[in-house]
Amino acid sequence: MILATVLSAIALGCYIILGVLTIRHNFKAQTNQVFLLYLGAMVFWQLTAFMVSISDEPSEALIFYRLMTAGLGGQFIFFLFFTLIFLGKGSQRIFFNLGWLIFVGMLLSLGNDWIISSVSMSETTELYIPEFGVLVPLVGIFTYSYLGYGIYILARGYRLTKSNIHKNRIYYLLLGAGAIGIGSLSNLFPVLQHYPIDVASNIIGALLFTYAILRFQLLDITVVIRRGLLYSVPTVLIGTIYFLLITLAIQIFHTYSGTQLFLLSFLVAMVTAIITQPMRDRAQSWIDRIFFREKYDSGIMLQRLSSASASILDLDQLGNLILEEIGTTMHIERLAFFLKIAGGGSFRMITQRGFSSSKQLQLRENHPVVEWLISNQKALSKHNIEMQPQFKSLWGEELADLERIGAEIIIPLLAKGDLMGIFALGPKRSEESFSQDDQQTLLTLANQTAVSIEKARLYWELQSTLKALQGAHDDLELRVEQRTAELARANQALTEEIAERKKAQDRIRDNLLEKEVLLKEIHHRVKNNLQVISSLASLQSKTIDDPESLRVFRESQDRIHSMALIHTKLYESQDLASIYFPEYVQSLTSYLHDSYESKAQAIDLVVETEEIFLDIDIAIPLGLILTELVSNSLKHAFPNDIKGVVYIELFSDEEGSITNLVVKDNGVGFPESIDFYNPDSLGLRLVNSLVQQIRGEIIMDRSTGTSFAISVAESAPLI
Amino acid sequence: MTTAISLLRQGRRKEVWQKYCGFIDLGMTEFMAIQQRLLLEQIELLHNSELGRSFLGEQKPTSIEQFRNSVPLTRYHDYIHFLAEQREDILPAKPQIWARTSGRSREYDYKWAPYSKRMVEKAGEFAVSSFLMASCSGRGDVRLSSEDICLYTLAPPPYFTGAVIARAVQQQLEPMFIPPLAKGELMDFEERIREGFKLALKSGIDVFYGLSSVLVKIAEQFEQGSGSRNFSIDMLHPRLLFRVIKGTLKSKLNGRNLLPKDLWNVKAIVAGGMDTAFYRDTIEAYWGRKPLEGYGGTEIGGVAIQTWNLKGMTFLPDFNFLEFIPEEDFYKARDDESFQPSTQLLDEVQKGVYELVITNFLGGVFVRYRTGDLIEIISMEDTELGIKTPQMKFHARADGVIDVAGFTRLTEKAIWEAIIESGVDHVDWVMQKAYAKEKPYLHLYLELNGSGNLEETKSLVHQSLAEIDSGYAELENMLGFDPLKISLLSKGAFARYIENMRANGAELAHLKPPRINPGDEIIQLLTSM
Repeated sequence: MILATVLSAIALGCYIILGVLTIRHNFKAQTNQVFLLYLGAMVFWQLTAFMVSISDEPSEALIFYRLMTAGLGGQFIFFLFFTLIFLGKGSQRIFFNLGWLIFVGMLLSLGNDWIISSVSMSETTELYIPEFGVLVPLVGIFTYSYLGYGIYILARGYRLTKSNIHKNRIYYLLLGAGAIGIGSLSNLFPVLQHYPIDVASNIIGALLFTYAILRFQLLDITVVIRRGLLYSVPTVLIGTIYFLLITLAIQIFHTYSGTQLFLLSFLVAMVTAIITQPMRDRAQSWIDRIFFREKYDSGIMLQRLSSASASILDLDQLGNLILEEIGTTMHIERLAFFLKIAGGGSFRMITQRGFSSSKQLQLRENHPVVEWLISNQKALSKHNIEMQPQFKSLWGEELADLERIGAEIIIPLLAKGDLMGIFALGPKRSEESFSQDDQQTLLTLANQTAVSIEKARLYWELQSTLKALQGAHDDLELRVEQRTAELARANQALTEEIAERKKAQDRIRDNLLEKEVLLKEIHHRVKNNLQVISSLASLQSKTIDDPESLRVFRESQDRIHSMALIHTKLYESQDLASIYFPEYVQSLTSYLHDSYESKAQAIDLVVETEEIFLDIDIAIPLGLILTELVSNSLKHAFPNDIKGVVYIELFSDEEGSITNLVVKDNGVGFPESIDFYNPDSLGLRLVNSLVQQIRGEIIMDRSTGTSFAISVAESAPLI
Repeated sequence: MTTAISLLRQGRRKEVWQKYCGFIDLGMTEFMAIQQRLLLEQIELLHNSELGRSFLGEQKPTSIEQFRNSVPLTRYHDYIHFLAEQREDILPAKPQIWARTSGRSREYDYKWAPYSKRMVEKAGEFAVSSFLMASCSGRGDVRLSSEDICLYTLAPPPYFTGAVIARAVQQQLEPMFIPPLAKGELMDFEERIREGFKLALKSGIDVFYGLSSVLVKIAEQFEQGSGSRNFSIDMLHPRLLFRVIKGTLKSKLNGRNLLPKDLWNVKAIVAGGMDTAFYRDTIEAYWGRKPLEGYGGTEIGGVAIQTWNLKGMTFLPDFNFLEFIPEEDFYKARDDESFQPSTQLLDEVQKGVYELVITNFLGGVFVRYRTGDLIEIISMEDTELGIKTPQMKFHARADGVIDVAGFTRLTEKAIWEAIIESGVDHVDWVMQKAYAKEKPYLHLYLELNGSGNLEETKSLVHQSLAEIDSGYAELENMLGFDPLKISLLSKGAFARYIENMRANGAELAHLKPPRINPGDEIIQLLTSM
């Protein structure tokens, strides 16, 4: 009897607590409302069971027994309602309508003996045992069908759902409902009716439901058990022990001494207090470990991180440490840490755990997650990303990145209100969702480590800058080294080239020298040949008596001489391409003057020349022209041995580009009958022809004696 | 991807609403932010594809303005050489499904549209949103369940509704389709509908997704008592018997013939087609619930849906980038091909008629695509439901407008409305713009649902048209000629036409004649039947 009372009281308490939890959390949700309906029926059942257990009279127990059937039957019906709504099968309206009909029918039958006809007390257990009425089979079939169908759709839901958490929720619901169903069946067997098996199974059911709520957030209920409340339990226990010890000590002392000593109680109190204080601390520590294990671990983690992070300046090391700690403490496999890129608004992943990523993950400045974290400054769950419409703007690539990380929750890292980093955490290994406590812990962690991370970031930036500078310096050094090596190589090549060129120049000079010698030899031989020709002509002329023929020979000799003289001057000079013309003019005119010795004794030869070098191609024709003109003057300008002067002038114009040769005499003058430009004589034809050849000009002046002025451009091409 | 079914199975109704219907709570700024961001993603995808570059050019636009200024408006013929061969290597994203719709005779037989995986998912979300809106009575009221039964009477694959929507719904909601999708796809249209309703007698119907005309036709058969009464063993099925007995009792109590609403308690009717607006009340009378209209299509996916007050349609922010050509520019461009119409964005439009221009998001191929659909912005927001974005309704197909002497522009919808308002009991109709002595007039070919007097019919329709369209009303007075001529078609002309087309192997979409300006061959065929 007492057992039944205690058990029903406990069961009643359990279902009331469950009811309060459900009401307090999201009462507006339809699922919670239907669950409350179910809990209401269960509370009613436990209450009536309790009332039966404390009833004094069978008539009193009968009333509560009949009321109990409404609770018992109702809870089966409402359980199906709940499972239908819970698994999203709300459309099966027929079950709702029929269920209410049965329930109302049961309520109507309470006033008579259709379901419970009478009650008697068991002699063995002193429990009231019911006698069932005629309607029990019918009501039993309906109500157990509801329970059976509820269990069936739960089992089906368990099979269909892909979420492990949801599977677990369904699993514990199934166990709870099964326990309650089996327990209630005991009422149908007379042997078992003597024991409060149904109420005990109800307690089991309630505990299983509670476990599903606490462990798997059934109905999205998150329970926060106040730590102070649990701490008070050992305090009360220790207080009781404390009181009992003092009382016991005084009592023992009194028994044996017959006196009461206040000092003794004071001493005992002191000793007990000293002993129990560490016990209380130890007890509280155990409470932390047992009931707040994750929070306890998180607290330890925060302490560890706070002390460790302050001394770490390496950002990678710090990031890894934080991820390691979070991962280990919260049992998370995949984690990533993003840091704001200096000078921009985007975030780059600097460290991660638990997944492979070939690309450098980055969250753009306008990434919806970044924008949300900046404006809301709180944790963002994957669930929110999937549900809230503003995240519809996520790019496929961004969704894939979040999927790669498996980001279940995203924690902002804020420093003075600015978002400076992001922790993206994957699902827990247990597949439990992140509770409010978890989120709070992570936010606290983010806040506590923000300063260290900021410090490390600045250090990292500094290091990066230094590294970049060092890199630039190294690069510069390398480049200088490379350049120096290049220059050395170039220098070497240049030296080699200079040596090579020098050799080439030597070779050229030798060749040139050789050629010069050769050329001089040629000029020498030409001159010799010309002299041979001249000598031959001279020898030949000695056999000629005809003065005219002799004259022709003589003129030819002069011409040959003029040419031979050129070659003489050439091989005698350093420069084989040009000759010093004044010297040549002097030699040639002297020769001519000498060759006309008989006639020339009365003729003076005046030669005035500037320093002029002439190319061989011009010097030879000009020498021939000079020969002809001087010869003419010597021969014809001064007849009858009259005295006169032949002037030869050689000069250049101001630019030095035109060479002028003037041959003039103060003789009798050029005969008017001779057309100089179209003469009969070979000599004058030769003069005209040679002037044309050197593209020169010749002007004859008969005003005073005869004057010929020939001008020729030094660079004029020969015809 | 979290699907509607997984949320429903967990009883997460609030989340179901937020995920699928949350877009109605977006403000204009948030809506445009989504549009802008997804457009930039689409530009990126297009830029990386041969097809995309052919429209974007080598220079990649970096803003909406640049995009609108540099990318030309397109029409389907711009895509034929890309899509006809279904080459995947030139597309912005790998297609999961190729959907098609009928094309233009002598130009292209079909219009093809590739759907990427993300587009198919989005199409599924669009369908679930429609189901939720169609079944709810207010914000957050989720009445769908994880075991709903869906009677589906739209076209089979590879048509958009069968290829994309049906599969996407299956993915998102896993409803029990009647008949089952795989089986239904093998049946012809009428057989599928017949089989669907037969199965519905046993299983019931939670969601109807199909054509309004089918609902009306079925209901009319019920009302006339002409449904199949042939006995079969299936009729002894207890659920069927129970349904029929319950329905018959209900109808007898109301003193009328058995109607669908007596048999089925449909929680959502989502209907496509221009006729939905006209049949709304009729469907409610027959089926006990008004249909919800959605606006979408093969090339454009989903664009807008009605909410539970069944008034204007609310635009979706994440299926297409939306641009609007003002009516004036639309007509100007129609008359002068060299004219480049300007477009407006959703935050720039005012009340009025526009041609819709879309750019697919999520790797779709259509870029600044002129849909040829005229929509009407009926209000800048829905104050009744607190929706802050413009509300639209379908106005007409661009080629479904008859312009009479530049005086009035009658849409198919307006003509239809006028015929219904006139009270003339008819089977179907087509209208052609014709000329007599160089004067334009409207020639209506009408099949009556019984016998009727031509003069009286004409008078009724004329009067109704004049009431509906003031431009039409003034035509006769201003221009001095009778603008309407009616020819009555012989009984069964439309049915025979459809039979004839089917016998000739016509596509589903071409079975019925186009109602507006159908062409002389079709008129000849109809009048000869």
